[in-house]
Amino acid sequence: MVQEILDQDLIARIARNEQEAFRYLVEKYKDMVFRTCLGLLHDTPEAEDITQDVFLEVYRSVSFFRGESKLSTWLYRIAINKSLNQMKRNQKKKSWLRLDELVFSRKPEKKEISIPDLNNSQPLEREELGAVLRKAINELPENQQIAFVLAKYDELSYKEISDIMNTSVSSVESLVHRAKTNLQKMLINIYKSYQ
Amino acid sequence: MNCQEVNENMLAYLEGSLGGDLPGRMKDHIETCDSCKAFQVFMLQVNLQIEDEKTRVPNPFLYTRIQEKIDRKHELPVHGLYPRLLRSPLYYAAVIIFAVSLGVFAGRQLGGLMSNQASPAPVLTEQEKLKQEFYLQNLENDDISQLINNIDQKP
Repeated sequence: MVQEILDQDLIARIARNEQEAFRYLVEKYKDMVFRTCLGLLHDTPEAEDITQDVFLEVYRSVSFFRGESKLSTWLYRIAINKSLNQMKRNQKKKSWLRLDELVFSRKPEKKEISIPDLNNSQPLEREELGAVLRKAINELPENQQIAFVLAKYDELSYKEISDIMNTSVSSVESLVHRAKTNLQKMLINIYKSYQ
Repeated sequence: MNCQEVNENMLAYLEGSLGGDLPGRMKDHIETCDSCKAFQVFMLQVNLQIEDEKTRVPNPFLYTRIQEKIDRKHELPVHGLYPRLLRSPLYYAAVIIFAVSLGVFAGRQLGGLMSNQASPAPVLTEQEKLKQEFYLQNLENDDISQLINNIDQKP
């Protein structure tokens, strides 16, 4: 399917259960959805699972899409909601693991984030850096996280972010600024804690 | 410029969004300060991690996997109260509490039934019946019985 299909046509064809149209939608938007999920989750397999869930949700509820917003805006919203839910599930899981460790004095299975001696200019492992980023970004309030990821990972304009977040452009500006300031503080704290 | 100021502006410095003479002052400080240089390396790596995550792409078989899930209809996310309930720890806690309460209730009922069966109304022997009658007859001849009889007989 070489020719560009308009989003409205695409939606109508998926609603008519045309598999090729759905395939086209997945191929067109998969990188965008995956990047947003990864920006919030910082874990590739988890982001892939959530990306699949996003498209399943689209397939299931395409007939409910009224076309009041852009298709990409709708996809971003589903991706953000599903990623935030996954983050909450991870948080709950972590709390249960902590309780388990406390009650049964078990040691955690996952290795702790360790930052090597940076004076030796040793590069951090990709996994460790992912963990550092996850730790810092997860500490931000939810709306700051969303605004930061959409601005930094998806490189969207403040206007596009305001449409997705259903807020004003000035609020987005403020959210991104506060997110960066807070992130800087978190990263300083993380860095100092491993010194 | 001190280390704290440098640390607080590092993200903006690396993004190139600092204005005025700040970038130059930051650069001068970092060149002469080992701890700020190390922090700059750390922040550069964090920035590189973001850039790396931005370039990652999903599995090329993503569509096939989604299609497989669609084909296996039972794996589609089902909306509604019941499936959500099944996934909730509260649901399991409620089931356990209900089961324990049911057990206690059934136990009490069964216990009561057993105790009733265990102590049925005593069956009196002929000798015991005679004893009881003798006692009642004697009671009629008691002083108190007489007194009561006298009261009743008064006009």
